[in-house]
Amino acid sequence: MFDLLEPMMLGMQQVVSFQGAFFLLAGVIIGICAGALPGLSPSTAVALFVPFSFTMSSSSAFIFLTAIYIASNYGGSITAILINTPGTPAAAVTAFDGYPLTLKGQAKKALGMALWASTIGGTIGVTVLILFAKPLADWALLMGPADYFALALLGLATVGSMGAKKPIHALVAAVLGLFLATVGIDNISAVPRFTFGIDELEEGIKLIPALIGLFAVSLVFEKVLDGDWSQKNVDEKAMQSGLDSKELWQNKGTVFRSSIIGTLLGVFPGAGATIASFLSYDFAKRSSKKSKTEFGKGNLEGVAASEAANSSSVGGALIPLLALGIPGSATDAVLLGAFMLQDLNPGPLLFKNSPEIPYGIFVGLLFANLAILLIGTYGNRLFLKVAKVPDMILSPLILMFAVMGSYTVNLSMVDVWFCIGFGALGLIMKRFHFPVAPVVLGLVLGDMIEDNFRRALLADGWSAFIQSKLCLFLLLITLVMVLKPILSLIRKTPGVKS
Amino acid sequence: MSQFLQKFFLVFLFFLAGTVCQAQSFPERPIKIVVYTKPGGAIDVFSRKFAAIAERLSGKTFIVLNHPGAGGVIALKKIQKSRPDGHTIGAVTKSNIGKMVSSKINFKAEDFNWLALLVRDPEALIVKKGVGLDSWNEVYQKSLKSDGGQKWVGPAKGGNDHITAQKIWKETGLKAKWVPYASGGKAVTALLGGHGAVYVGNPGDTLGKEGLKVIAVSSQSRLIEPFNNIPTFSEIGIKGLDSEIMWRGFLAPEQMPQEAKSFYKKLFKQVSEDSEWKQYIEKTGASSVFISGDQFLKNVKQDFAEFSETLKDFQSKKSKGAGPYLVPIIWGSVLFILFCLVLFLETKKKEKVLPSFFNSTLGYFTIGLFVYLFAMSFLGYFVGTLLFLMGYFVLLHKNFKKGILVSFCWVIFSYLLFYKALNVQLPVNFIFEHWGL
Repeated sequence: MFDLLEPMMLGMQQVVSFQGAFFLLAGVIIGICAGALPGLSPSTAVALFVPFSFTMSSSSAFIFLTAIYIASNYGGSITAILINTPGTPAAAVTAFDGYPLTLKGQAKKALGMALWASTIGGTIGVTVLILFAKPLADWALLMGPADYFALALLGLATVGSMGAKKPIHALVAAVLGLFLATVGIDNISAVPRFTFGIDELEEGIKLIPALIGLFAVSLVFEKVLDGDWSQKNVDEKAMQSGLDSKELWQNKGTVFRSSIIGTLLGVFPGAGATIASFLSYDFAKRSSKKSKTEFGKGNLEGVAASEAANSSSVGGALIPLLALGIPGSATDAVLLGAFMLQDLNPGPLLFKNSPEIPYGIFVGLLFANLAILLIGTYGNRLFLKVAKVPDMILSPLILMFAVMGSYTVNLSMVDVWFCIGFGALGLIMKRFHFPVAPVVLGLVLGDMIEDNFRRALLADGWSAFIQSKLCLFLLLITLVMVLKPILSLIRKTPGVKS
Repeated sequence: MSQFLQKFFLVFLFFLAGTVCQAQSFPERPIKIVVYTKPGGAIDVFSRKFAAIAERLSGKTFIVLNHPGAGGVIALKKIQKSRPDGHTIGAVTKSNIGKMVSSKINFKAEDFNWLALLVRDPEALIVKKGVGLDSWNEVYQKSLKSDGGQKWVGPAKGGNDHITAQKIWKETGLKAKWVPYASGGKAVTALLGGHGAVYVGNPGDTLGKEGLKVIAVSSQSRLIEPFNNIPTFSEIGIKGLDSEIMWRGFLAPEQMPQEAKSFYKKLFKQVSEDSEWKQYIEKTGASSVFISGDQFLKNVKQDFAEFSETLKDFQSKKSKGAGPYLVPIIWGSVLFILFCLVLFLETKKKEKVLPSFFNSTLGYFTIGLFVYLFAMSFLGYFVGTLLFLMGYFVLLHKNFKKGILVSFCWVIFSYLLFYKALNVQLPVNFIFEHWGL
């Protein structure tokens, strides 16, 4: 533990310089804004600023880029809570309870909870990164294709907690997402599927345009369809009351547990923030002492679970990158490019040859969390004004956000058309009481389930799923998660004797 | 008065002469380098390094533009459609050739001006240290025991690394199976985790990492330090594969002015001999070369032929294990069954109220939206958005004042925050480009 002191001081020197502090603050502000904009997911936000980092000193460049990374994970929650438009894929889970809270006039509380859960979770993730990077990275490497397949199935089992009155409707939506995820060139045999000869479709249906379409554009279509533009009745008193320390203390368990789940899932290359948010939310709902039915109707615990998980996953995802030189998330892959641009190679040798870089990142991330807390506290007052904007002005602006956001993903109009198409799909689904969030879950997990299933079969045959203990364990948990609600349903149904 | 006109005419002539003289020197404007990945991708880093060094050597400005998508096809289309004045060039690698062959757009080698091949990166066989596979001989012996079960990992099937692996197997009679991963990096992860025996990639993939060993490289002679201990393919007895490389270079649209051609020829040669460039390239085990014109085209044509061969091979063979359509069929049928179940449950209900999901207002709104999106390609985001927002407020809410206010505020806000501060590349029209906004 004590041999950490000296390099941490070295890292401190990088951050507590004029340049370091300036780029840290700039990174946090940019990250929050970019995260709040639907379409600028953390990886896109960091990618937009990689060219700028070219001209900075190496340590400032990485303090800047990692600050954007962690701040954008927080920023996604702001628009998710206020206008039901998740700024990042992981924040889709934050919207489950965050938006209902806004509708109840408790936006300030929700924003406060998201801010505190994000910064506490982020700090826990970074602390784990500093203390246990090497052993965790080695452990994550042991995960084979079969284990990843089982992990993805576990993620899919969370579909039951997704707010639908009828679980079967949520299931239909999830399978629709899984089916749509098969469009494009498949990663195993490199065959283009359902692309109809359109080159743009070869990369498959992209998550961000689908997410924005399903959540945000469908909301705008709904408003236009209903034609109800009357002023919102906002309870001014409730709007003014922020998060009090008692409420934060009540959720300490959820924040802590979700942070651990987030960090651990962040470590696995190929899992990541979105799955971490879905799993933490499900876990929080199952283990909640309060009535479980409150989830999805505006429960602070749900906001806390999602935000703690996705912010803590940043620290986790940096573990394989810094300890082994392997990107652990899409954003890590962009950071890897930034390392190459600076003539550096992340990995164990970086700690020996230029320790000021990794330790600068560590200290920078700790300070970035503090900066998010400060800026967020003041920023929330500003963001809250969005909740007071009448729908007739807000609705078209959400649409403009959506167009810009989906265009940014790949600088292509095709993505914008997809976004509008998913908006129409979202509208129809909502009208027929199908939840839209499971579609996002299906799209996130589709590739992970299919690729790893086929890869495991290709490499070891069917025995692959029995050989690994971790795989068996994960499959068992999944089975329990799926069977429990079904059994209780059968028991409750009259006429069926158990 | 006529004197004034004369003077004016003279000044005008001077201006004209000035512009004509300028037109003869290339380049007149900054040169755009189109890159087929997002910022931070390997080829993006390569292009930005090149841009920095080319700027230093030529004193001209180079701008890197990212047009990712469809494995490079989007960027290639962009380059093909750009004005053939020599101010747009594109970064290209061998893996793009595979995409050009498989794409529905019938790309031909002759469609482009192959400016220069600058990097030759040897293919490498990489293993994990300390698992009893520390040399080619050990890999070979072990493969005999496992009877075709040895796992070789790397990126997608049909790519450069997969083709190299197949050639090695054919040449040596080794039996193994290819386990593809979504990227080279993910395959290295699998190798380190013990989920594969050999990773096929490039020597640079081991930089900065511990626990990896390169057991052979495709090169006519030994590489320079620190890769000088690695035997070449022919040294370990794999013949005829010394030119299995990954190359990187630049191309341009087919038509190009003569002065641009000579400008690039001189520039690429200068860059390839620059010490900073050489150090950057050679650090990864690759070599900095300068192959241009007909020689490069010949090279590319060979690659075209090879990739089409593999593609044919690919389409005729059926893959083992689960086929590409198994999973979509499973999801499709589950979806169908579940959907029927929902329909059945719904019809059993007594009250049947079909929710409305369309009306005339939404119809007009959608038409407006479609016009807006189609018009964006020539109006740009900002002008188009201004008109759409105004139309929305005037037609739907009959509120002209709010329309003006909100649309102008939004356009200014989005211009400053997203276009300028956050550097989002939104589509803009010719007016923006002309004024350099």
